Amino acid sequence: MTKKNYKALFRAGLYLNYTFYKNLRLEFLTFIISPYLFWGMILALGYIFGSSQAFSKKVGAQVDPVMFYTASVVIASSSMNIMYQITGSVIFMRWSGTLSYHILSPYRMSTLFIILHIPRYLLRSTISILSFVPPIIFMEGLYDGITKIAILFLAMIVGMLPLLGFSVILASILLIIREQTNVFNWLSPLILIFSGAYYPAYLLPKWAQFISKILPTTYTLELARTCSIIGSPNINQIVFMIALLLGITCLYNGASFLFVGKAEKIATKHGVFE
Amino acid sequence: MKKIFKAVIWLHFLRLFRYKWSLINQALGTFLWIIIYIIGTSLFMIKEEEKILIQLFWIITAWQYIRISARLIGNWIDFFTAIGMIEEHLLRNISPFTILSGRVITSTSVTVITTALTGLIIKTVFDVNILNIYNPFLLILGFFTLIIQCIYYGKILSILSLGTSISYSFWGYLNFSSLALFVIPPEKLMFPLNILIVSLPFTSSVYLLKNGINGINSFTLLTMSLLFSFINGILLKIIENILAKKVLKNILKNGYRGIGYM
Repeated sequence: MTKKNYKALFRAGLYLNYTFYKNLRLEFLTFIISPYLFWGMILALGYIFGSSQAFSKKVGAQVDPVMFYTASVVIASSSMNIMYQITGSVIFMRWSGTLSYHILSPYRMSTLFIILHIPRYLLRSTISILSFVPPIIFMEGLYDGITKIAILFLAMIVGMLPLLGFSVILASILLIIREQTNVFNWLSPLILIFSGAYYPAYLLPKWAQFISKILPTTYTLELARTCSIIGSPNINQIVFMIALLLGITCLYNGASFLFVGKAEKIATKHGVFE
Repeated sequence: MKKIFKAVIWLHFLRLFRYKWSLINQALGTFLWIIIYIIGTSLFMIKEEEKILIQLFWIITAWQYIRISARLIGNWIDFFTAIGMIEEHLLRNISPFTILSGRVITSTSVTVITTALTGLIIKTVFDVNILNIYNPFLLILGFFTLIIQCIYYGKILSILSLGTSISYSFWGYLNFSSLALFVIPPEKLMFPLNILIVSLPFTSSVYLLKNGINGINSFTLLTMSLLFSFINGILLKIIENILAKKVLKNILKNGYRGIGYM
């Protein structure tokens, strides 16, 4: 397969999503509003039933709860989005009867899943970060605000790479089991808990901390959270986490190629359950 | 009509067992989201107080029930559309919205499993018994009226998404605002704002539920919430009927646009 084909796939994915948002404008509005709702809800519950002093005491660092949850919600919604979209697409294709066509297409399933979903992920995650630009600039000022938004963008891009492979592994399992819905939906909140999205991973029990260490989202969240620490972010820490995420990317994406290959073979041999 | 309802209930029970992994997936997912909200909120508390945790648990569970209903009843129309069942039912002179009523079996099953699981975890982690409440009858009554309202709410979302070609998720997000109303104590508000709060759909049932947890603060507000819990159920049913008739008439006249819907 030539490089040009990948480009065409990427362009197709981009065009598909552009027309989707163009035609369903209220859906577009939903993507802007939804992260705000999660963010507002957890902060409102926290401030009603507790206080920011208690938050800093529990977290054990000088952390701004608003920025802490801004980073958490942006990364959590982007990560969930990629997992739901890739795994959910298998289910939707099965519903609509197009799964057989995808399996029979000249592209490998893993290639289709990954390349077609990159534009959607980038578009949706960018929208979710951009929707938080006004409050971040308002709270942090122009210079610090832009730095923190840049860190969030970086975390989002680097964090996407291992998640693509991880989600494709889940999608390949869905190819061979006969269920009407995405039976891995529960994995997303579980991953968020172990990654410390809404509760820092270092406050979790020892066994949970071990699981959190093998999840890519833990490092993506840590990278994004460097912007919630009051003061300048530590560059060495950021570089270290990027390197770690790239290493995990190789591991998960390599595994995804093997898994999807096997799942494709099983699906082609036994027929795709419609 | 009785035969149709019997078939709907029977088929939904069958589906529940056939798609047992989907049921477990829904229950586990919802359970984990409740845990996320509870531990996220507990991060703002120096010491987790039993009374606050019990109240927080039941309020979030009630709100999750509304969300589950929106998703399981409202979202099911996506599945129904994708497999071409809308037209199949219309051809047999059966409203596709009648079929949606059976989804209450799924949403209630998910909530029961979720509540039990979450209660167990809260007992283990925080050593708090979620059943340590003032009046279980009021709690059950609150949930009963909430379930009735949720059936019609879910159906209204489906009808709106079919009628407007806007996915249920947009309408579903509107229920986020209800959580803010759930945590406001109406007895601390002035008249007529306190009456307004306890007269709103869902909030009226949640006020019953809150009285069941903490004890009765105001008999007037409790009576109003009890009254409005039933009135809201009837009102939502009327709205659902009107919308269903209108949307069905439109579909029969202009056809149904399934492609590009989602």
